[in-house]
Amino acid sequence: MTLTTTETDGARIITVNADRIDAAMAIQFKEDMREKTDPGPERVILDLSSVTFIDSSGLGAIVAAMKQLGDGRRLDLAGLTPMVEKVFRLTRMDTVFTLFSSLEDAVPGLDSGSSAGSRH
Amino acid sequence: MVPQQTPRGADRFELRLEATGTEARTALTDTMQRLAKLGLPSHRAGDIQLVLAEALNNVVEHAYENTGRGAIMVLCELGPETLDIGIVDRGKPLPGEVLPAAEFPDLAGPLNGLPEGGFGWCLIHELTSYVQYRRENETNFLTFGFHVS
Repeated sequence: MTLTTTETDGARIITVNADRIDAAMAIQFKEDMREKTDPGPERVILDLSSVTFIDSSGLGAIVAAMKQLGDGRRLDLAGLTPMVEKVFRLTRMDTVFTLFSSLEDAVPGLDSGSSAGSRH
Repeated sequence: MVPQQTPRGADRFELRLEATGTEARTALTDTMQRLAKLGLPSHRAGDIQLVLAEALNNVVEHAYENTGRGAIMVLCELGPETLDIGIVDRGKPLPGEVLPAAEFPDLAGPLNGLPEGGFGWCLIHELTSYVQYRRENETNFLTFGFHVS
């Protein structure tokens, strides 16, 4: 799986370039998230707009990624597709994370083109 | 495999896989493609793929204890109104040889205490119209169904 990071004012956006976060990749996802967030700004936004399928292992990996950020930092989720949003709702994880329907909602003023920030 | 017509007018197929995460993923996408070709309404595909993923992951991780070895068979029967799926494996039984409870984990308390697992069986119970489990001849039989119309 590949994760792309984009720096904006006050937040790091991490985009998941995969259509699924499942049991077969959950451990790798958690490790990759650590690499992309440690160190990093207080606010991290996970862009899930390409993800059309997640299972409970994938959900657990996102929870683990949030926990490993540590105190005083937060992981927000953006661009949830209907299936992914349903898994968060059924497990009530939608009460733990702040969910944004799109990246533009999560980062007001974000230009969805190429000039948002520096890519790594 | 060519789907067989059953007396009830349902389409049946089966597939076999080894107990690894990647084979489970392949089996999952194969099953969903076959069901789509047989006319499964697309609005039901998300729930069904999730339940099948949870059930297969459970066999890979617990029945076969992540050894990467062990045979799994998946049987699907799609009728006009219902989809029934059976999963057969010869791994360890479910604890106490009964289905785990359907209660979602408690999310109260500090963030660093949040559960990272324990959601699989709850999702299976929540999204199916029935779930049955039996242990016989050192074999696990898990069966579950959906309304598909």
